[in-house]
Amino acid sequence: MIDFRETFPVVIGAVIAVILQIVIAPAVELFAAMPNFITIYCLLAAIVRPTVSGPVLPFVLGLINDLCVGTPIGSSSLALVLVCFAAARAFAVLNNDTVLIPLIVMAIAAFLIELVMGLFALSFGAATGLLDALVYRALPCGLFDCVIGLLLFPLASRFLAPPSPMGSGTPAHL
Amino acid sequence: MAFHNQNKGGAFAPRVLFVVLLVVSIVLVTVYSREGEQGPLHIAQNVVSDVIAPLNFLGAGASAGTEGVADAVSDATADESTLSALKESNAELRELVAQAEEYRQEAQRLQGLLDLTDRYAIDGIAARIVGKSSTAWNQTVSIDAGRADGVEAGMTVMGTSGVIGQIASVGEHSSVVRLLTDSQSGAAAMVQSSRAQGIVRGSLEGLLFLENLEEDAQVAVGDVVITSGLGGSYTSGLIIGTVVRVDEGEGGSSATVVVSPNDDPSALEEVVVVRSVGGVEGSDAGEEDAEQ
Repeated sequence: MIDFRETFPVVIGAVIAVILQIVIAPAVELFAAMPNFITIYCLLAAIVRPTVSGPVLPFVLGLINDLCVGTPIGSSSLALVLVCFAAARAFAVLNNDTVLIPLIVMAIAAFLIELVMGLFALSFGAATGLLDALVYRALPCGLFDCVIGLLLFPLASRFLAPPSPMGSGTPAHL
Repeated sequence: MAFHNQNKGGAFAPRVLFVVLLVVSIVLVTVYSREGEQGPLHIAQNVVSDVIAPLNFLGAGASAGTEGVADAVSDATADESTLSALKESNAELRELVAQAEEYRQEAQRLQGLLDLTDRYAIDGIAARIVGKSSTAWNQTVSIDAGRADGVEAGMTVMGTSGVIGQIASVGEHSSVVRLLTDSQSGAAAMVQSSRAQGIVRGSLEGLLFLENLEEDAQVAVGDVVITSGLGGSYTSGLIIGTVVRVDEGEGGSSATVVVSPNDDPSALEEVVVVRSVGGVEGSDAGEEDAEQ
């Protein structure tokens, strides 16, 4: 049974992320690093909903990302499903209600997703080395994603976090 | 406690779903890598690219908008004493001047393209750049000409002074151009003066490298690099850029040659998709002009 009140904000957020990725991301390129709003959104959803986030959102958004930006179809969904799953589990275990844990989980996960995308780019014929992919794309893009993710974290906590099983006013993570 | 137990009891289905979606992703990537440009996944990607092309154009507007916001902030923080009573009329005049300047620059760019097509006797399709790639892993731009205008995958694309890339995918009314600077790009090229053959490749650093040169190839800084047409992927005889650095290889390895492209795609707004040069597709007709 799908809870409409819980799902609606997630879907709206996903639509906004896709539009931002297509319209805004190319305009905010910084030294060849470009944020990936779809990645950021999936990670935020995984972190603020660690116990209820499933693989469907990252899979669908990954496919949309591949269709829209021209990366090999299935590559983003594979990277997002894998890393978001790991990020959600890591956050559920490590969360101590400080900003440090989301920061660390977000940074590592964003970097891992960019790294997987880099590996796909290499396997699809990019004439470059793994070190170059790491230094010139994965690290700066991961950092960019992490910074934007942290800026949006309060918003995501406000709108995406599931209602607490103990009633309103009680933090859901407890 | 009950909540956690309930979670544990219902954890099997999400795990199965997780594995299923992973497998589906892997299957999709495998199919995508094995199917050709006419495969269903590539076609779906082209269709989506065609549909979102107008959104890319909005993105270009947003980019200009952010510059406008920066200007507005700068104006708002200016010293009040510097603002005169003629501010309104000045603003109006400035707008007119800016508009005229915009038209002048556009005319200049179009004239540049026209000169280029005349000089190389290029039969081509003029197109406007309407967007750029929204991922850092691809160096591509979208143009507003597609299959309906006669654009086909693999056609060479030129800016005002040289080759900038190749059509990677074609939609009905838009196309995606893979830039030479993309790390997946590769153009058969030669050094104009010594006729040394090689392949110009892009890189993640944004530089162009002339690779696969023979050991005794004569290359010097300032040499012009043109497309050779070998392999038929690019029309031959079109200028790519100039050699800016030559690092001699050690122990018999070939030299590393860095090429500066003639055109900076980030500064371009209009391009020409080359249908043929001198009336013959893939001819050397443009080479004499490139030598000048």
